[in-house]
Amino acid sequence: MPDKDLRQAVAAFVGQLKDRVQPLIDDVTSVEISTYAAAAPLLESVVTAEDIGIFAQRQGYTRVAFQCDMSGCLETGRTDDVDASVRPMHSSTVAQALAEREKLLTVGLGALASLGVKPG
Amino acid sequence: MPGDNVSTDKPKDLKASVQKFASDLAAKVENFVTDISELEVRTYTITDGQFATVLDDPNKKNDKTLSGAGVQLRAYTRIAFDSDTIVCLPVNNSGQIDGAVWDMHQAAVNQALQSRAAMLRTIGDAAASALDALKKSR
Repeated sequence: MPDKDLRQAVAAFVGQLKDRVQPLIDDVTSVEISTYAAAAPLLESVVTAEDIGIFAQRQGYTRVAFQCDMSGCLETGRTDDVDASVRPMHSSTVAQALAEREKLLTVGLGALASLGVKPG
Repeated sequence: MPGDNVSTDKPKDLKASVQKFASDLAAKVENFVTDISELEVRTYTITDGQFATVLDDPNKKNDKTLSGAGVQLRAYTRIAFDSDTIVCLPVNNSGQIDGAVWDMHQAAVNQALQSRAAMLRTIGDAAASALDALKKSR
């Protein structure tokens, strides 16, 4: 039955989405941003490696910690270790990651709400 | 009367259409979150004159990455669903990063992120609407 298939599929979708969204609203979460640099000819093999750090030098690292609840997230700490040469690129990536995290949290919660599900 | 056929067939058509849509959507929805859980953006440069050779090769149409003569990966970003991010930039012999390539890569990453969020919103709305339509079509 198509409607049974859809219900099963939506149930799987909701389960997967909850699994992804729940960690974002748990008590303590963090975002980590790493910026690596590699010699141009090696980039292709570097990015397909299981651990990029083996073949490329990490030049920027930021970890931002949060305390979150259903009404939002509060930044509780930040670790930065960034070389001057990649600072502008790394900084814009950190801003992008934080904005994306907030957007996905909002959209994910909205999608769950439209299906009648409340996480937590 | 021709009108009689129309009046009996229309609800059947509508019900069949709703069920077809539900079935098609079910196939998409089931693995959607897994499919979007990790986002990768690769920015390449291709030597002038090699575009057609690389991009029009029918054997490589479905490849996730580009390869071929004159193709070089210039920037790479991987973003997990929780926004943990890895960026990999190429440096030249002097240790310099190409700012123009970086700007283009960033534009592509932003576009991909917006697309991922929009798709998630759309699939959620579509699933909710389809479930509602199925209830009403019974």
